[in-house]
Amino acid sequence: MKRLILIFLAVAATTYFATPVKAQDKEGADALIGIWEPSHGKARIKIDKIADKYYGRIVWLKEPNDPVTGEPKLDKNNPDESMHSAPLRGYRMLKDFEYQGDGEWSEGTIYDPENGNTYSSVIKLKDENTLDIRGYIGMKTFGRSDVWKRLKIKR
Amino acid sequence: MKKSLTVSLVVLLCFLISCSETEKKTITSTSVAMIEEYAMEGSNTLTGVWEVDLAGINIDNIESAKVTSIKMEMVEPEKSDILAEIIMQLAASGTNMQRVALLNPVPENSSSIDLSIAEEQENLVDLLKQKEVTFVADVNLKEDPKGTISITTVIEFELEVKQ
Amino acid sequence: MRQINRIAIATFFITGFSFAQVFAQEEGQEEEIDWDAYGEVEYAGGESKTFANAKIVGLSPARFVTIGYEQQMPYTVQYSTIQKDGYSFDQDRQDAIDNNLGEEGEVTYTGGLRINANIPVISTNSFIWQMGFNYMQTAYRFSEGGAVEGGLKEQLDGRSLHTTGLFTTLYKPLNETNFLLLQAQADMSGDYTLDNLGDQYLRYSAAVLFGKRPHDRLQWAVGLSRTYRVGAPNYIPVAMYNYTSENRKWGIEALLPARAAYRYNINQTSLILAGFALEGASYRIGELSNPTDGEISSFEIRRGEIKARVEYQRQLVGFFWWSVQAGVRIDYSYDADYLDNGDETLRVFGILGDAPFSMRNSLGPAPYFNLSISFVSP
Repeated sequence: MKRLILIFLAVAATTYFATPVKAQDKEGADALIGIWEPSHGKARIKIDKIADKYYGRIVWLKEPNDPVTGEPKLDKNNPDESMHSAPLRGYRMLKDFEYQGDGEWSEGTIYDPENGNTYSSVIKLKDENTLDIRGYIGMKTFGRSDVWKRLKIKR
Repeated sequence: MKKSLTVSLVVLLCFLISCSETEKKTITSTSVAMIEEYAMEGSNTLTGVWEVDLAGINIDNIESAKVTSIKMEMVEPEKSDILAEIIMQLAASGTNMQRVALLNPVPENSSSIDLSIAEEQENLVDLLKQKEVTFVADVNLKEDPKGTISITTVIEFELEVKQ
Repeated sequence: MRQINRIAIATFFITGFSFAQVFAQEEGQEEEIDWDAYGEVEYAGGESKTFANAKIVGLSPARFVTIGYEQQMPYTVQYSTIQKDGYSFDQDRQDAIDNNLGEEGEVTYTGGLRINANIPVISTNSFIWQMGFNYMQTAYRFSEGGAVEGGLKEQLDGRSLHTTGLFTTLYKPLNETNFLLLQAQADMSGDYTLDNLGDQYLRYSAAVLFGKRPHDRLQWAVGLSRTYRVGAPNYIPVAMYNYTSENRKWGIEALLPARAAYRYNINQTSLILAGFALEGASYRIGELSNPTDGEISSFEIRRGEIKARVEYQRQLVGFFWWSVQAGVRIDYSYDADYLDNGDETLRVFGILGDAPFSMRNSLGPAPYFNLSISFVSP
């Protein structure tokens, strides 16, 4: 009986302390929202929140047109052929990121339009204007990290 | 002995087949208004929430679900000529976002739009298990619409339902 | 010009993953700007720093782990007699064999397992460090008869030569276009088993290259290497050249003199490579390599071969690809050197030395094939 009471107290205490932390962290979770530039500087990606998850889409391309066709770049490497006419500008390349606390978002994917592959991905906030974004295959070790910088629109 | 074994095998086979029989049913979402309040030239996202209603079908009986049609209507038809391309996705908090359709280019001056449905769709059953599904349209605009842009959307799902 | 770093230099097996490489800036192309709201932005904090990507677009997938099997079709061999310093450097090989023929016959089976693993330790846009492991087995079976007691045929028949190695690769981009590439490797080659493994088998090779990546479809580098690729150790210049055509359908993947191939990209999930590779090592073989005078001095077989080949690579499922390679194995060297007191013989094509050979051997050409499955980073 004593044991049961202890367990009950432990659960109650956890719930009591856990709830405010989570609420507080909501602000931290949304630190991902904004416009970001990968280190190559050839694209800008806007990350926003939809249905409690975080998504990033290409909002700007340094070279919006295909050098061969002269037409806007399309998602021609997508494994789904019916998507080959999807434009890359506006393309949602970061999908389904969930905030894990402590400046880390995971469970998401990053799409490489160059080869049509989708990689697992984890994002870490290094400081409020810098992201460390890693794409990987299976295990985190089989991957690569890039540094993204926050941008703001000139008004 | 041999004959009775054959008979029981046939019975078992019939039982298995009857168990796995499904029928196709269609459900249609309500007309969902997708809105971007501060739309601008270029890339924009319009979202709207559908309160999932399966028209009385028990979700546990649905084996598979896919989108078969998406019809859109511009709320302000005079802005329809600024739509360049549309990619349509479905999202919900308990599952991953699914891209289901696209249209590139959007035919000029068409206030009613039929999207091209993706050939490869994942099973959308998990999505339909959620209370709410967010319709997400990524739209490239040819020019600044000067304010809000709004599109109403109706999605038709085809379901495989266990009998 | 800004570039995202993509990973993998085929020949050095730098692997990794890439994304958003599509934002390629092609050489000579004018910069175009999208003048919508997202075109006029400024950094909220610090600026991005761009580094030359380790990969170019369109390369054959970089391999993390590969398991394969290779086999040569039957071929004839001629081995000279073993004479410690018996064959001068200037003497024609075939003449030397004809005048001192020790053994000849047919090799009915040459083949074995090949494993390669290449694991990123650090992999970022500004630095890549990878550690790798490779294992190559070559088992031999000869047709019956003609063997001399204690000769090479007897030593090889029914046994396997192994090459086991560890290597490390560093890729350091200096700025948007320049990069440094370093690779060091330690190999053990011979007919050892786990029981008699010792550092007498150890051989070191290394390469250092400086390169440029002018745009997303071209990278090149030049440098110097110490290699056992032609059997005996050599210090030779190396050059890397990777190129993909503007329409992304074909390209070149070369690390000279080790390998070069023309690449045809059929689609995103299959490609063909046609070219050559130079492969080799220095092997200690049984009693032949450990003669009576002690454990340090040894005869070593300097195996170096050219493989002219065509390879078809295709996605199996997800990040697993399979590959089939077929071609002809051409003998470059199967001679033996006597390493007095374990000291290496350095000739570098006669420039640095003209030490005599201890055996001159010749292998007929043989068709070969290689089947493998890899876990890749496309």
